[in-house]
Amino acid sequence: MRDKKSIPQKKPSSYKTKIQRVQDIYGKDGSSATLKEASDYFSKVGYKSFSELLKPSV
Amino acid sequence: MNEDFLKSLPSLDICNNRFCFIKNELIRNNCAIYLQYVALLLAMSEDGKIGNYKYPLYKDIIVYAASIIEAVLEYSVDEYIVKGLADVSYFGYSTNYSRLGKVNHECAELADCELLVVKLDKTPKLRSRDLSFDDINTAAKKAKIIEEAEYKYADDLRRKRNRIHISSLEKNTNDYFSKKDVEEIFENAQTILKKVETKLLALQA
Repeated sequence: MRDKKSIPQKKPSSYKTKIQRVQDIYGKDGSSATLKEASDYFSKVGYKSFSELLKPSV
Repeated sequence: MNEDFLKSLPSLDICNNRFCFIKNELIRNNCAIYLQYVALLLAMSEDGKIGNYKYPLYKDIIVYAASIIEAVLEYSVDEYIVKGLADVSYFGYSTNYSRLGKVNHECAELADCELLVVKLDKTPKLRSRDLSFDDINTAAKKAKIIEEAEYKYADDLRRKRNRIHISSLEKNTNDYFSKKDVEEIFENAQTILKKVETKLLALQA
């Protein structure tokens, strides 16, 4: 049985919570594409009009 | 869905920025949330593994796209009203009938009928929940925010959105919308958004 002394008292600086790991991959709301990446993706899959719609006019 | 799939979706900030011409924060944020969700549905519909599920997804995409356009048009008319360029009457009127009395008669032709005296009250439709997409489209056209072409696009979107009641469908629900229809809807939605955006930015200048 592990005693208290063997349990790390301080998390290493590289430690991340599960939420932080998910956010690193997906961004805070589950999406991580830049405007160009998202726009290029939808254009590639055949939704050029949606790709254009994502871009602000000004 | 895999990691690459999700990485292709625009963030909420990007979607929010698309509606930067909407100064009402709540409306802008909600349009952005719907747009982001539409992006998710579109990407899901392209996942080869889902097969025929893509057809109900097309319907959902249309419903959310219609909500965005409806909100943008209503907001634009409201802004025009504030600036004195449109009137609340453009949204149309709600009619309420109050029965005042009954007319006694012995007319043979109207033997099966009741003759009533009613009072008709017409009040402008002011609140969003009283307004239909049709009312909003009509008001936006009256205010000259959109022209005939954009009005027809919005009306077409409204009709497609309304094809939701199973009992009113005349063919298999999966046969109503294709990828081509969805692409066309976004072409038309972009035309409407650009026109509204131009008008509102001119107003704000």
